[in-house]
Amino acid sequence: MVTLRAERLSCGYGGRPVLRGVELEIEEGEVLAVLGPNGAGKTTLLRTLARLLKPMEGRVLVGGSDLWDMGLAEAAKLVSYMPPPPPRGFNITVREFLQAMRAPFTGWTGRNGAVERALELLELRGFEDRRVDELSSGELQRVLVASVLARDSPVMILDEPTAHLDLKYQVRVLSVVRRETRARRGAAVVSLHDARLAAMFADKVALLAGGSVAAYGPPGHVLREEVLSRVYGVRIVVKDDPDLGFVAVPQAP
Amino acid sequence: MTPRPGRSSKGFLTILAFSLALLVVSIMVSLSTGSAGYGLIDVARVLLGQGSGPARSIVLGIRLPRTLLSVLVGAALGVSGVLVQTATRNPLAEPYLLGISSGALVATGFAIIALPAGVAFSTWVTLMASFAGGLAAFLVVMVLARLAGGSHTSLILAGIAVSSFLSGATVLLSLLVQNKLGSFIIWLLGSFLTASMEQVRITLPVVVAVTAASLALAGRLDLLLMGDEVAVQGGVDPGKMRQTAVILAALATAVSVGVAGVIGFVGLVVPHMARFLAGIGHRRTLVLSAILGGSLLCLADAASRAAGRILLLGELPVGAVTALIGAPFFAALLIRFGRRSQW
Repeated sequence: MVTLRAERLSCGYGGRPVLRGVELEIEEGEVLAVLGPNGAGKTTLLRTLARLLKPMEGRVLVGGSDLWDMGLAEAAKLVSYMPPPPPRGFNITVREFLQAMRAPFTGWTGRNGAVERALELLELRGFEDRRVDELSSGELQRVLVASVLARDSPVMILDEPTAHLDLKYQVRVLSVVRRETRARRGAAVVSLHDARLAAMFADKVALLAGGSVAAYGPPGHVLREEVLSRVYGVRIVVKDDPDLGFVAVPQAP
Repeated sequence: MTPRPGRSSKGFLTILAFSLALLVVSIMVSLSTGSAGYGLIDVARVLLGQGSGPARSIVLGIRLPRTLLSVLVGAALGVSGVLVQTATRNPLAEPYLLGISSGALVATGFAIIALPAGVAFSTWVTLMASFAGGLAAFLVVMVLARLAGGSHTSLILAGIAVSSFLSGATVLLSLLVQNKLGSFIIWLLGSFLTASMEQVRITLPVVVAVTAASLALAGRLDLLLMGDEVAVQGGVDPGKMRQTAVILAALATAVSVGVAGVIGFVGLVVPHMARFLAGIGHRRTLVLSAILGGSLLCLADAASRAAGRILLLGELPVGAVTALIGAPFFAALLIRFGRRSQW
């Protein structure tokens, strides 16, 4: 139902572009993984796609319309971005946090099926009434991802959704995101560090380096030994093992 | 594990029931307190449509307006406190931070100078003067905050700048009104001495409207409290939302100052009590703050009358009572909950 496109996009802060000439096209139901070395501009790109940062040049199109031509509320219905955790010391429970994050779209009582479903999907049952600032970092991370799911928007943008997650939940979170994106016929953008997770769950990969998109396309096309080694400046061995699946292992210099 | 406040819907309903019970008790206590000596039984008779003529006229004519007004002003201050603390994202903020009280005081001071003694306190003229003065000072704060970038910090700083200037003016005025100083001190410390049904009729619609509007915006206020960027992500313009919250608070506060003078502490403490009990979600916090603010100010007013009689001082200013009781109570709350919650 919805596609996400970046056209000749330049983005950055205070007049200084971090990325130039970004062209992306995410079809409905697709997940794009954004990879790249530290400081390559992953967060900057994701924030620009989420309408949190105004593009210096170019446009972000959701379903064909420019995100900056529509109102704040309209854009918020289409796109959700993973929020920062509430400040420490906030007396707020997991369920209240999820409800607050989708507050403008919920009725007066705050009760909402999407919130309950997101709790279910990320196995947060039993955590609903726990205070957010008393969760472990992995649990908190799942709550933040759940808040994006609970928004029910077709476009989901998640900056490092697998940070702090154990092996099980890295896979769980990404498979939920992919399944939801397919079901909503929307589009998802996730930034990741693990090329293996990108190969497992993404339909397309954008590899950022040197102020632009260094490689873009299907995982098999982007996640190649010579491309990864060149971009990260370290030798990376890539194997597509029939038992293990895709593996990318950096070698000690 | 430390016991945590009840947070399920059922837990909240219990808290709500208890605070409503507290409100009823406070109203009954207030109705039964006064120099005329009619106690709880006389009050019950009067409320049931019986009782002697003098009892009726004292309870319904004098104590009832006073009781209702203190409940309304308490509710107004509680709700305004929540709004201002969220808009400034500062748990130390209170309604008077916006310059409203000092603006109202200066305007009232001028009204007292201009009007003959006796007329000066609690007439339509002073009420309007204080309302207009409060809103005028608030507008200056808003303009300054806007010029300084419109963030939550600029709002606090602009409020402090305007309030400080006007406090200076207040001191100057209090020197000028020395011969009518009594009525001015009542304003400075707050009092329901002159409560009337007319004041209740003015205050009620404002308090109800502000509370209802705040509740309608509760979800947006939740987002605003989480941070400007979170608000934007939720489709809420943080600048506009902050402005709306502050304007609502200003209306309620200006009316409160107009009918009862400056009563400290309620607007600061009551929102914290509500959050300790029910978390930071605005739907619950606003409802609880209105009820608790109303109950506590009503009780404080009853206490000010009772204490005044015991100390043979006639009557203590209710603002002094709220500070004397409120501050230690607040300290106890801090010790109990402060380690886990700044909000």
